[in-house]
Amino acid sequence: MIDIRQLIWGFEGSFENGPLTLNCDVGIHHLQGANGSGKTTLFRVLCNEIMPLSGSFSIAGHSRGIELRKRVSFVPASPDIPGFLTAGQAVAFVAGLREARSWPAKDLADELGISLNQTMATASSGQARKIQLLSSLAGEPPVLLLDETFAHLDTQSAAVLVRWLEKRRSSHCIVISGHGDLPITPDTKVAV
Amino acid sequence: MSADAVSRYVQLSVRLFLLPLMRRTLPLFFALIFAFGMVDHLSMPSLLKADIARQPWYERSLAVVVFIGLWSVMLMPALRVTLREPGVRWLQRQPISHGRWLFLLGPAIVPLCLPLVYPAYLFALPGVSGAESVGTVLLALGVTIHRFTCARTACKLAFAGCGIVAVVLDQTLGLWGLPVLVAGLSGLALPLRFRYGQAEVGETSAGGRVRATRPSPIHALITRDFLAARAANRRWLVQFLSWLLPASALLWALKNNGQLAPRPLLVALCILFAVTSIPVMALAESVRLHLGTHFLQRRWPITVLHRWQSLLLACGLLCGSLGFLMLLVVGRMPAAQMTNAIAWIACVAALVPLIVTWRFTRGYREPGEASYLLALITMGLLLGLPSAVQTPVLVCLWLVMLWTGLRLLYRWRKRK
Repeated sequence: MIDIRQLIWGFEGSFENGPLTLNCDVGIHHLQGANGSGKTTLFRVLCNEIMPLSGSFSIAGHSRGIELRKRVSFVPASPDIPGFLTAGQAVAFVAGLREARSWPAKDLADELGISLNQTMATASSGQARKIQLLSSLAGEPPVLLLDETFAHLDTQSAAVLVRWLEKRRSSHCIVISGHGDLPITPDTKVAV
Repeated sequence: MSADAVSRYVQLSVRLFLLPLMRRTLPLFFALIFAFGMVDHLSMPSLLKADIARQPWYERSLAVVVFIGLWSVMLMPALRVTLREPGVRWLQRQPISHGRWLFLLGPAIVPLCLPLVYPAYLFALPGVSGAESVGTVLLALGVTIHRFTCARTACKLAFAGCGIVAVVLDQTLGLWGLPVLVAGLSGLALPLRFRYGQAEVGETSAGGRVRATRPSPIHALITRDFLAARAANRRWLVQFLSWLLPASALLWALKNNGQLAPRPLLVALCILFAVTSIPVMALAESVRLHLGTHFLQRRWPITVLHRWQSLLLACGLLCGSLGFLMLLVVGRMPAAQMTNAIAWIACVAALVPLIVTWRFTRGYREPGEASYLLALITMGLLLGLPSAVQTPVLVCLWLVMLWTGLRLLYRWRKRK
């Protein structure tokens, strides 16, 4: 599903990573690396936020454009949803962008311990991260890029997320970045 | 206060208020004077031509109100930027009395009073009675002061009331009496505006219900934008009405008491609609600033074109409603004038999303109201050109706009 060939990524004149050649199919994949090794930047390249320095990649046969971005969801480590939106509105917004007819956000929100009526402005930093996670998963595109998501979750919420991801192990391509071990058993490990 | 303290206050006032405000507003002021001067010079069939002294008082007052309104709206971004400067923020935290704030802000009044030059010029022409001159200059002063006090909406509603009084009683007093009274009362509140600053964009947060998801990016963007508008400014609908009511009342007064021919009525409608549409631009800009990077993110499965389309629909809805209400006030018009009026409303509605999206893609952070007003003034100049010159100029302008629009669309489509 994710096909990366001789990819070099980073910022010109600042830092460069790679080359990386990788082929990820459905399943759970662990992207491991130290701080500053370029994990987040790689995710940003894969979701078309920034351009790679060289090399190529494709996701479900698409290398760039709307068709690629429809198939990828990037869950950033720090929340960027504006304060006036409630969790429900944020989910509805992302689901609308992905043209998803409906998405059962309520169950997952309840399990994560957040209310869909809670605004980002009144949420604690942990809750804000959960709202970000919930909204990014809306529409469930086939490729999920989770940037250090488990690092900011409490034990109970991590268990909920593990259960949710386990159900999608055979249908989705899930890449999770992190420094250490994950609370979920990955199919492959990639070091950057 | 000792002489030393006075000297320190004067220095602070000049450095923190007078110089920054003058630097930021003088170019705009000269642009506005130039635009109005051009209208005068071309002797166009507009409300602002050189023999304005022989025109009814309605038309002179309309010219003054349009000038002052444009100027005060142009001044707002400069004032906002000045109030956010670190020096002013520091000053706001100091224990300074109300009286000393009045003293401190003395020189800062100068840029606020610059537009008084225009009514003074208009009413210094021969054939104008003393009462009218004094009344309109006071009106200009009232508008200027009100624009910068906390009672802006109340001020606009007062103007609406005066407009209606003017229509019903046909008296000059109705036009300037009440605003001047309210301006006098709230003039003392002016230092408060500087002392406590203005509400920052993003300070308020709004709760809300969970809305049903529709499978359309445009719908999702429009819904989110209206939520952002509500969060940025909860009273935006009241503000729209407070601009619409005076404009409609003035239009009604012009039609009924001024006995205007269709052509000047069209010009009046276009000018007043342009002024009424300013809150649409202000709202779109506040939404853009309120959303920040969430206005449009590259990782979302949409392009700048989607963003532009959603803004166009929202602005079309708002401008269309305002325009429709103003057309209702005007009532019957010849077909040619009606077509022109509808084309003008459509152009204004399209201008807002174009400027907002263009400024976003160029990475501008400051509000684009000044660009919008300059574009409106340019359109107004074209509207006032003599018929013989108007057609070729309009054809050229449409060609340029078409070329620019196609270029932008090509770039935005390419940037997927």
